[in-house]
Amino acid sequence: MKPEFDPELESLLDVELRKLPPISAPASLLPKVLSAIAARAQLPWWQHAWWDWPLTAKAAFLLLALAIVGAFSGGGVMLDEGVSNYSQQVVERISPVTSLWDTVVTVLNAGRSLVEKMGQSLFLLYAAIFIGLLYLTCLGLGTVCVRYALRRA
Amino acid sequence: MTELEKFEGFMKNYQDMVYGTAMRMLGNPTDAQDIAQTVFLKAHEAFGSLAQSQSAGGWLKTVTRNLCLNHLTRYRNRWRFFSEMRSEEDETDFVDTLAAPEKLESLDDADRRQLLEAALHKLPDAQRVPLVLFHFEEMAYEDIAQKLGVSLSKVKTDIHRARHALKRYLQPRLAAGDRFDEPSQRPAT
Repeated sequence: MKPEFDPELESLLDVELRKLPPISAPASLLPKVLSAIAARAQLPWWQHAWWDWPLTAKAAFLLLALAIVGAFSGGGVMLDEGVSNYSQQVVERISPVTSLWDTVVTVLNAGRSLVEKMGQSLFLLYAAIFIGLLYLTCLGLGTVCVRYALRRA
Repeated sequence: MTELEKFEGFMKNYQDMVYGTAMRMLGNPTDAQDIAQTVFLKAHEAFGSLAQSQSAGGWLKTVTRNLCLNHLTRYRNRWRFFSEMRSEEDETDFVDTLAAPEKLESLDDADRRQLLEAALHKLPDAQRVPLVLFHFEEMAYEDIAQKLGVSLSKVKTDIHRARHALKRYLQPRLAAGDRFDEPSQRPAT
C-alpha cells in the first residue's frame, strides 16, 4: 500500500502529541540507580572497567602484555639477547602443542578419505535434504507458535 | 555537597525526560525503567564531565534513544522473520482494541489525551518507534530510515499506518474542522 501523505493529519497529530503531558518517572527509579551505584562501588577493582583500575595495576598489565607479545614474536620487540633466548625456550616448550595439531590434521584427512569411500556425492545429497527438511519443520513450527502467541497477546 | 548528592540532584532534573523518552519508544514501563536505570549508570560514569556540561540533556536523550533502539533491535532480529510474516488481519486486530470513536465525543481534552497516550503505547513497535522519532525526536524520514536500518518507504508506510491508527483520537477536532493553531516548525517533507 502506497502511503498517501496527509499534511493536515500530520500537522494536527504533531500538535496533539506535543500537548501530551510529560511522563513522570516512577518513584522507584532514583533509589534503584543509587543502590546500583553503591553496589558497583563495593566490587573489587579488577571487576571494574580497565580505565578505572589503579595506575600500578594498569602499568603492570601493560608490561605483562608486552612481555607476552615479545615472547611469541621471537623477541623482536626488544633487542636484548636474554629476551631472544627466552623466546626460543618458549617455542621449544610449546612443541607438544604443534605435535598435537599435526595429529588433528591427520585425523581430519582420514575422515575425508572415509567420506570419499562412502559415495560422497549421494551421502552429502541425502544429508543436505534431511537437514533442509529439519530446517523447514522448525521454521513452520516456529511460525505457528509465534502467531498463536501473538493472537493470545 | 558530595558527588553522590550532586548526582542525585542531576538525576532528579532529568529523570522524567529520560524515562518519558524510553516509555514512548518502548511502550512498556518495565523496559523503560531498565533503560532509564542504564542511562543514569552511564551518566554516573561520565559525571565528571557531564555535571557542568550545557549539553547534558542532549547527551542523555541521545543515549536513551540509542539504548532503546538497541533493545528493540536485539529482540527484532530474533523475531524478525516471524513478525514480518504477520498478516494484514493481525494489524486490524490491534485497531479493534482502541476506544470506539463515538465514545470519544463525550470526553474532555485531558481524558482524550490520556487515551491518545495509551494508544501510542499500544501501537506495534514497527509503527510506534518511527512515529515517536518523527514527532517527538524531530528526526527526518531519511534519518529515521538510516537509524532503524530500513528503507525510506517502509518508514513512511509505518508512520502513515500509525497516524491512521491514532486518527480516531483526533476525530472530534477533525470533524469540527479545527485548524492547527501552532504553525509546524518541521522542514517540508
